[in-house]
Amino acid sequence: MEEKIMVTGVKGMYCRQCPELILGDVLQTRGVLDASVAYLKGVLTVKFDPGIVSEDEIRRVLENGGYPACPIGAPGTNPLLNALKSPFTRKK
Amino acid sequence: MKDITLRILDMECAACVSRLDRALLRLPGVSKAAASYASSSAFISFNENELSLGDIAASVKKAGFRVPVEEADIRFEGEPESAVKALTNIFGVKAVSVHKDIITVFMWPVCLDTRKLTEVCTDCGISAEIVEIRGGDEDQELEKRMVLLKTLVTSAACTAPLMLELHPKLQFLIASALQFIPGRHFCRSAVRELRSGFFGMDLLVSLSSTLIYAYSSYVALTRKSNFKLYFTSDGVLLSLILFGKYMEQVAAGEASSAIRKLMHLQPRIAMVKHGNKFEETSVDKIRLGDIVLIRPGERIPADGIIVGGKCAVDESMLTGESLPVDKTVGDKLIGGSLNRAGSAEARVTALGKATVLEQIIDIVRHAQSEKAPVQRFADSVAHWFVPAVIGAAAATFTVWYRLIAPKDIERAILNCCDVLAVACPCALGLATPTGLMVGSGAAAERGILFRSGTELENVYKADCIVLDKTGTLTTGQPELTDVYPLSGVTERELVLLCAALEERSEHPLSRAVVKYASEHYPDREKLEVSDFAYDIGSGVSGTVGGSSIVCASRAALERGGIDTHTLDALPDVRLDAKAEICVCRDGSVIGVLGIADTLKPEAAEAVRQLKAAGKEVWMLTGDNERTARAIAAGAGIDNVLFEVRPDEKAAQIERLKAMGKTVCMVGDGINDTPALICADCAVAMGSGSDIAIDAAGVLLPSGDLKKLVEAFSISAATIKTIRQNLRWALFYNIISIPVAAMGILHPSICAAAMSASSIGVLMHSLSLKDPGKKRTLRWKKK
Repeated sequence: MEEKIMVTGVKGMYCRQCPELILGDVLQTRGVLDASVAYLKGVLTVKFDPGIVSEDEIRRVLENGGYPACPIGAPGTNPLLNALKSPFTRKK
Repeated sequence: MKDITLRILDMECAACVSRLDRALLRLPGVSKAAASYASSSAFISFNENELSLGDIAASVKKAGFRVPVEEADIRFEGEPESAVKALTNIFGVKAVSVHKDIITVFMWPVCLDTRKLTEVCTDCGISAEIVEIRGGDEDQELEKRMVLLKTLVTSAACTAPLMLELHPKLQFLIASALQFIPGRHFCRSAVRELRSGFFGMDLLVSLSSTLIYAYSSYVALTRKSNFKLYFTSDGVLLSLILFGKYMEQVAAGEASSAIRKLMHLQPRIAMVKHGNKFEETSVDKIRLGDIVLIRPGERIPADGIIVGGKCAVDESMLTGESLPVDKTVGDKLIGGSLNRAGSAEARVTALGKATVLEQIIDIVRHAQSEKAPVQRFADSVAHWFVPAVIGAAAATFTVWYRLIAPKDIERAILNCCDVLAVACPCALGLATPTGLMVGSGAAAERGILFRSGTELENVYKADCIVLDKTGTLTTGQPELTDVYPLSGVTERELVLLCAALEERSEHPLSRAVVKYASEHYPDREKLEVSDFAYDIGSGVSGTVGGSSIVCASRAALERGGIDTHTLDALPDVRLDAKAEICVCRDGSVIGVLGIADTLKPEAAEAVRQLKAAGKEVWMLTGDNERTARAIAAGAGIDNVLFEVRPDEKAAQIERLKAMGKTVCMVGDGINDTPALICADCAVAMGSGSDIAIDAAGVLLPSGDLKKLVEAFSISAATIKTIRQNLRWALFYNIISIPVAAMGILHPSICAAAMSASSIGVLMHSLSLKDPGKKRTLRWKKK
């Protein structure tokens, strides 16, 4: 029973629903104890048991969900900028 | 190949859409999948033989979105059996149920024609008529938020050019676009409010903005160019207010994070035993009685009982305590809690809505949406506030136009609009619900469940706390520690005679005696017991091995006419804070047993903190006076209600209430129900996963007394924050409206002030999320 904390940037968030989807995926992963998303910064913090799941596996989960992990502050992590660039937020 | 358009909720952006598409295309049997965020639906082309709608819905759910189930109620006459079967076979129907004269058809949202349902019924020989259809409105809320964002962006985009000094007619054009496109939002909202008899902020805003627009348009189109235009102010007003509204939505999102977190814990898949193997199965397909395997690091898929293995479980979603609890065969597991170590097999005992997690979500949701007294007060103020503001604005106009600056219509209109723009009723309408939501959510995250906003308030108002002893102040696991037989009687005799009777009783003291007997005299012979009788508060009696035996408290024996003074020679266990059982054989006492019920380790500190906060702390127990006082002394409690029989507890609460106190009763929720119902506020402690207790307004499943203190401080912080917000709202309006009427402020400033006030109040409510330092310092009684 060990605990480790992983902090990573996530790419591809736009709207307020995105962090919920990320949390849903991550919290359901075996070995993850707790997780939270700082939406405006594009940062995900995960508390996990390294004896059961590895950081790489968590990154794979993020990748499969459509929100790949990346360095904090990397381009694509700021959801507001993403939203402005995306055509969907301006048209119906 | 079947083509369907499935309605899907919770898609908000491009990322959501592509994620859903990917999830759908991964399903075997799907050949085409195209989700559309604009129409909240997905077009799917799939092979019916490989895939059912249920599978598709499960996959959508797994991706994080919702497929709303629609329900149609059909009133019928005749025999429904064949119709029910036929209905179930219709493509798109999920399930059919019958109750009295209504058939309820649950449908996937694939745009089923409801006429088909009635046709099928008639074909099966029964008359049918659709009476109600449900399930269409959940996505309206999400739409509202997206619409708001777009409106805000449009408004800001129109306002920007207005800030440049353009030609008046050009300004007029841009401002008209502003007024009729994003501005429409307010007028529509105002009309809706008026129709429901409610005067709201949107009415103020639409009046103000219309006036400014109308006046400026008149000037722009008719007067000479040396008259000032105020289109900019209109734009700023609308933009800032829209921004404020958007922030409200964001705040509401933040406030409901507690529930969303709980919902994330709802498991989606489980390892279910099929035959001899465990297979990964969707939680929707688990049935009661199934055996599931729980590996380390996994979330438990449903409520159950361990049938094999051992594990250490983090039940923080229920108790707020993340220290893992050891569980072994026979122990209960809660769905959604986290297995930290060990592997176990468990038999499923509850699914879906019956699980503890769902019940918690229900409780929190209810607490966040019900109106508390403080909110009803806010509503009543809001009711006359807006008409009063409109009146003040009209008065302002009249006074300026007639008296102060006659014929200066510009100033009159502007000052009137200033008043309309600066008034902020939002604090009243907003801060309270947000505060309650955040407060109850923050409490839930710590294992404190308030049933409603009213309960939050009641806890705050309580000035007298009555703690039931057994199970609340004490661990509820009593141990027999002293055996004192009178001369001529052996210890073994004393214990076994008593145990023989106590075996038939469920009382914790009885269990202690029986446990001691089993541990110390494992080879004891079975004694014959007859005429067993259990008198509440008076002990047990019966015939054991031919002798008449009574085991009861000293006082009870005295009442029964039995002389107990020979016991005075024995050590008095009651002085040791122990409960005493006197054993009497054939009319004379033969000895005493002392039973210790230890105080919880945190009890003394918790009582100290409660007293420090100005609350009066009482202890309620059925124990005799000496034992009761000794235990109370150990906890630091001066007020003791002792020898209270279970049926007298409620009366004691009434007595305290009659003395003018606001009483909060803290008990275990099972044995104290009448007393809990009687109290002004009731806390049920230590119930664990038994959280369906209705008698209590506050649930503390962990049984930790420190959480009791926390519950008081969170409720204090919440109610105080709400009251601070209300006071601010009052103060702000009282100052700002006259100032605006005096014409000192530019309309843009008024709008900015109003926005700032509204957002400030929201942020203050949101600060409840992290009570932290605030809590321990400032929660002394008002």
